[in-house]
Amino acid sequence: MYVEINNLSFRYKNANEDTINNFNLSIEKGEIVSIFGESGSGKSTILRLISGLELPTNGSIMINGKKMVDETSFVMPENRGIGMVFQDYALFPHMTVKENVKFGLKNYSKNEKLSRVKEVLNMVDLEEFAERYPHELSGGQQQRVALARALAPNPSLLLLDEPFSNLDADLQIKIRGELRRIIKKTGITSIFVTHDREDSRAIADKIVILRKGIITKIGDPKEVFPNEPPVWC
Amino acid sequence: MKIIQKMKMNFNIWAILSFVFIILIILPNLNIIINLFSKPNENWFHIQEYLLQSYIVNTFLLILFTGLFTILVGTSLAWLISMYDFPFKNFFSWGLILPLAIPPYIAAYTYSGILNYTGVLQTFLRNTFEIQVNQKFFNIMSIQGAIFIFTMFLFPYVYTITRAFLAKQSASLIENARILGRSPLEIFIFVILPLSRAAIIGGASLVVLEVLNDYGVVSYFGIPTFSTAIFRTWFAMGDIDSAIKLSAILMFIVFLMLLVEKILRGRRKYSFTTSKIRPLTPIKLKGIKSLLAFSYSAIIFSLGFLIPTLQLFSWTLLTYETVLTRDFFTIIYNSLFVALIAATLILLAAIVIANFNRINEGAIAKFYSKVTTMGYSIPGAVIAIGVIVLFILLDNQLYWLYQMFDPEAKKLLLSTSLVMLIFAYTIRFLAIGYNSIDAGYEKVGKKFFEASRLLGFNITQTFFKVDLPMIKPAVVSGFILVFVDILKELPLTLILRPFNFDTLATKAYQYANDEMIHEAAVSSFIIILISAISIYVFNKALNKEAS
Repeated sequence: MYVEINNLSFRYKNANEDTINNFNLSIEKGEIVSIFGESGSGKSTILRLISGLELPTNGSIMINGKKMVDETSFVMPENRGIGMVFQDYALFPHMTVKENVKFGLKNYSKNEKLSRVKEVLNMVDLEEFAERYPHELSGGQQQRVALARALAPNPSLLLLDEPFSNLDADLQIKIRGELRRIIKKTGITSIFVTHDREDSRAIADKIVILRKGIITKIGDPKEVFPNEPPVWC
Repeated sequence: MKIIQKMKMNFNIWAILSFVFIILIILPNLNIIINLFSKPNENWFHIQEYLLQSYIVNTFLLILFTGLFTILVGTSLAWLISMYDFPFKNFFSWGLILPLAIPPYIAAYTYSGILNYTGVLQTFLRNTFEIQVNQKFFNIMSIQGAIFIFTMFLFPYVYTITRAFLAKQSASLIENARILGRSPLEIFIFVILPLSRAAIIGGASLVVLEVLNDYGVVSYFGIPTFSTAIFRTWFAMGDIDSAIKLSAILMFIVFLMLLVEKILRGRRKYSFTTSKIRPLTPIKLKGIKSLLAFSYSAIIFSLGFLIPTLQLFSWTLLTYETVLTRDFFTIIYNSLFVALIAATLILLAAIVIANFNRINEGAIAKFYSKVTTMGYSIPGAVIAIGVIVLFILLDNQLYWLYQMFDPEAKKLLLSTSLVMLIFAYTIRFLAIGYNSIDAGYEKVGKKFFEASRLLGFNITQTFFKVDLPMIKPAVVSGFILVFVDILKELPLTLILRPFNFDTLATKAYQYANDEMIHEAAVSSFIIILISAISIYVFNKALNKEAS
């Protein structure tokens, strides 16, 4: 398996209960997995644990055969090679779109940087906005910049935290189709977290339903949500 | 196992530096607490028998009445400015902060110069109306005079905090009270005062800390208090042990005050539970009421800023030719130089500790932030004694090292250098820099930091590429605040400066002490000018941000 998460548990400081309890998940290369749950179910915490922003109390995470965290070792978030699209995008306000996307291209030569920025901006259809600042863009455009920035360094895994929560409903439907197209085109393994059942069904190859830190259901969209009409995307 | 893993995760240059800074802050204060229990000498018995009682009584009288009067003046002005509209209200709204630009010790000798026999007031009365006044009523060099000075020049602490609170006060509360048939005065007493209790107490406790820190006013007026006593036992009697004991008692009083503040404030905080805040629409005052509101504000503004500033300006015109010598430019250079170095160091330390604290939330971070902000509560004289003891100890320990470089090295190297003064400034003013940086980080949040980490940058790289550019405004404002405070600082500078090293503040104090009040005006005027400009700029920037 490409991603292997075993017995993962996590408890926030001063909390009485585990936020994540014995979480197991394996993902194949190129798969899009959706973690679906209500707010407070611990779904965003899983992304923070995978990316290394939090240290689990228990369990291990392997990505592409490399140990990210277990009982004794811990790889710093900056060394994991994981891309993340934050819920509110977290685009650096003091940098232009181009500078934001270029930011993660640390070990590239100057020319490589330029061509890679061009490539990903082209992919999200934002080439003409390269010199704008984040606050000069619409919500949907900002989200695409965040996606471009996360994809630019060719991460081994892409995490998306509630990618549509800040968008209008009609924009959401349009963008989720686009998102699936872009992700599938790059072939990148992705995990995205959502509280919207339609989002899950529209994009994911595999859905994990999480309740109070425990997996209650797992499988492909038809298995998890049977008897529902197909979604348009 | 987890603990080791966690330590490994959090072990970095920021953690090491923060730890070092915190230890450096704690050491001198620890010295004082430890020495409290050393065996007292003969001198101490004398102090205890004959003097201690008057130190305690005077100190308590000063903080009690200054506290009460600043609450009265500060709260009433905050209420007037936020609830009503009257002529020049917008000017007063920031003009009433300006008294903070005048350090109380400068105000003390300025007022004594205005009121004494040869001063402008009595001369005017004599020459124009041939009135000979009873000197008793014009003597400001008393405990009442000190309370007047402290009240007039420290009330803005209460005023600004309470006004900021009232400005955010949800208007519906007040409108509701009015609909329920209450008069404005009743609303003030039964709604506003209880609601803003935390803000008022917070402001008043800053005032009390300033009074406890003061050395200039009480020594000029000849009132024996703890800070003057600490100076006297150290300088005149050379008795450092007793000075430490006095410092320890003063520190105890400070902690007592902080405890009282906590109790009085209760569980309340400055903030609101509701996020919907509608600004108050001020009521337009008419006729006699409008005149009264204007007069009250104008009188306080005149006493607290206009009159002393004009007087200093006129004295400056009298004396600038004799005072502005080449030596004086050395003094200006000295002042700017130490303030610049110390403010830079303070901001560096503040940035390191604040960054560490926000990355590692938890018990250690909480403790660090307490220690960092503690220095501002400890009076200058106490910090000075703690720092001296520490540096003499260091010099004794490092003497062999000095001798290695220079066989004829003096034994007291560090403790006679500027390093000691700058170190003491850092302890005392770190809180101001830290609060500013901390607020900056709070505003930015952690998500940009996390985004940068996931894009492959470690904590330090992230700091320079992402955090620093984003908290730049907080760094600049923190720097200015600290810089101005150091420029005005008196007690630490007086005790810890190297021989023959004068700053604007010490020079003004010395002139005034040598009965050369007119000559003291030039340096005082420069200090006030720089402080007033920074207050004006800050208020403008704050208003811009709020709107």
